[in-house]
Amino acid sequence: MPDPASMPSSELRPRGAAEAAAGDPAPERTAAERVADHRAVERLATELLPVLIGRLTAGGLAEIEVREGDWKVRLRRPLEAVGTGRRVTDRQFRLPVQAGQAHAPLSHPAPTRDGARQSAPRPADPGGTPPATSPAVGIFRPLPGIAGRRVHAGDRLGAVDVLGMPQEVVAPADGIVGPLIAEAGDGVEYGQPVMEMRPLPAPDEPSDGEAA
Amino acid sequence: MFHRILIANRGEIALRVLRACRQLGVEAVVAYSEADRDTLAVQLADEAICIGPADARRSYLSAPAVISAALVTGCDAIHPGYGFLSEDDGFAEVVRAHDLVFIGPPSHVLERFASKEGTRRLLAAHGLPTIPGSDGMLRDDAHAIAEAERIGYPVLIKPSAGGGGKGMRMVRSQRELETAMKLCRSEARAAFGDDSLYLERWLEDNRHVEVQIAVDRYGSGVHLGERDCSVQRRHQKILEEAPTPALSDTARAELCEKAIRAAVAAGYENVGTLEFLVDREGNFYFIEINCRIQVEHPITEMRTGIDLVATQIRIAAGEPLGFTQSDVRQTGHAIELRINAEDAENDFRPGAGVVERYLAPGGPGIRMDSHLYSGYEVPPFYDSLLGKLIAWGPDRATAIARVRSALDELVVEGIVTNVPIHRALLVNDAFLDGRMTTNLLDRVGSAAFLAAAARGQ
Repeated sequence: MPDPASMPSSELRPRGAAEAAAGDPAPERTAAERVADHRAVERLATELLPVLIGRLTAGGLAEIEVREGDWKVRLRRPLEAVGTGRRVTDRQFRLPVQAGQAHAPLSHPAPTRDGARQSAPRPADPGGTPPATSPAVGIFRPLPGIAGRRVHAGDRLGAVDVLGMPQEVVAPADGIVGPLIAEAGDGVEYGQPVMEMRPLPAPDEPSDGEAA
Repeated sequence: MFHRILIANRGEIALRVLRACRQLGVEAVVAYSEADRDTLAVQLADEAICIGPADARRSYLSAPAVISAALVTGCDAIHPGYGFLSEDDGFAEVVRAHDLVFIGPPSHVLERFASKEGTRRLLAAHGLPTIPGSDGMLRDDAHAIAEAERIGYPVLIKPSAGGGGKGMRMVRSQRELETAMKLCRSEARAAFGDDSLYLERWLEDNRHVEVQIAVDRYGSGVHLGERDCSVQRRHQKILEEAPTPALSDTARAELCEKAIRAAVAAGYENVGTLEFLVDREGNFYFIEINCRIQVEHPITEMRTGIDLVATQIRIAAGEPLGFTQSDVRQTGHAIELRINAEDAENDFRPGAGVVERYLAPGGPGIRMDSHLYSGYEVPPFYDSLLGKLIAWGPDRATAIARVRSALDELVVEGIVTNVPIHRALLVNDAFLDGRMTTNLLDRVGSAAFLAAAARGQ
């Protein structure tokens, strides 16, 4: 169940009645009109709203408005806090890349927790485990306490919020989650490495107690 | 004025917008797909952000990715360039809902002009002549057949959404119509997600002439003259010039004045282009409005000295235009050649690959808008435009001479380009006499053009 704060709020009213509602004294409506209103509201609530919420969520939209006869429905999702306002970048003027590197993932040398810096283009270290990368452009939200945990390929390590819609960050391979490259709340780009991954210890070595 | 603009496009237009930002003193952030990480705009940007994979649907066409990128990088406005999301009123609306500014017409204006057929009726009501066409969208084949009978063959089938010749077919009989309708519907659905079609009477030997306008938020607008885009191959423009050789000065002035008056009256805002077809007798008919900056905008900039992209940004920021029609001076003649990665000798098949050597031409009146550099790899995922070679001269003959010598200077090695078709055009009598019509190149055949040029040299 998503956090209630991130659930879309909706407002729903007949168009002509909007002004009247503002100045309160309830507009005179006949019994037949009230029944019709009830039916309309029920239809909106049971049929239209779920579809709209689905669209709002799937489309990553912040706001959606639909008119249906005399009725207007507007759904608005509370805007996600825009994160730390910090973004990890290494952009410099780089003229032609070396051949063969054109489509290699960008690597972002970023301060790690102990202040060391990652080496620039990640070498194809045969023994190394690739880092977990961001699936989208948005705000990075690692699972609390994820660093140091032993995970399997495909396990969820956190998310990147795209306009409030979480996109999962998953483990690229079995291993132990290393230090975070990006911090919680950082703005990250598509494909950006966000968490180091360390290989699992050899089977005969004693595990470090983090084993599931 | 904005503080920081996200450029949500690629190629030469991303670079063009970046240059406008620089001149306005606004920071520029370039949003790019994985396939465009080595593009020049990405390298020159104040900041660049990867928004998705090469597939445009997940990067340049993804509204959430683009808006999220703008928020993450602290931008206050988004420039969509041309194509992609540039005329999407839904996108413009979502941008606004996130307290960002869409650089282009506001969403309600885009919505008003979203349907070509609706726009045609709206502007006809404001005094623009239109081509006789179907009454509304075609409901089904029977409706299409009845409407085509009424209008009279040949007719042009056109999709309500989009541009670039997709979903467009000229048909001369009911049988052709029935076959083409299916094709057009599926092409339009694939390209624009909307398969509504309408019909227009087909004008033989027409010319494509368009009027550039700029209207601020306060309803004051100017035209910046017209452009002639009659040199086309399968509805794709390949060479544009201004002024049009097809109309007298009086007729040009009348066209431009009518266009700006109608656009202002219909509530247009920001820079835009009204497209017209001009028949053999010089009658002009409004066909559609493009609510964006256009590929061929530089020829207007060369003739007026007005930076159209900067104007577009200023208008979106709520600034008044700051000049009136009488301040707009048009001088000389300008020509633009679209340099595409296309094999002119092989049915214009698009090419891709590494540009081994690139050298831009120069000299008086020459401007090259291109994102190429030596060593750049042209990705195979997007359109084939490599750049635009633009020449200005005090008169048409000088502009032609300049663009011809500039084309000789241009070096693009390693990938195939359409330079041969431009060489052929620039020595062709129909072009030199200003007699090109939109169907000429297709009717004669590009191969015949190339062969004729080869014989002449």
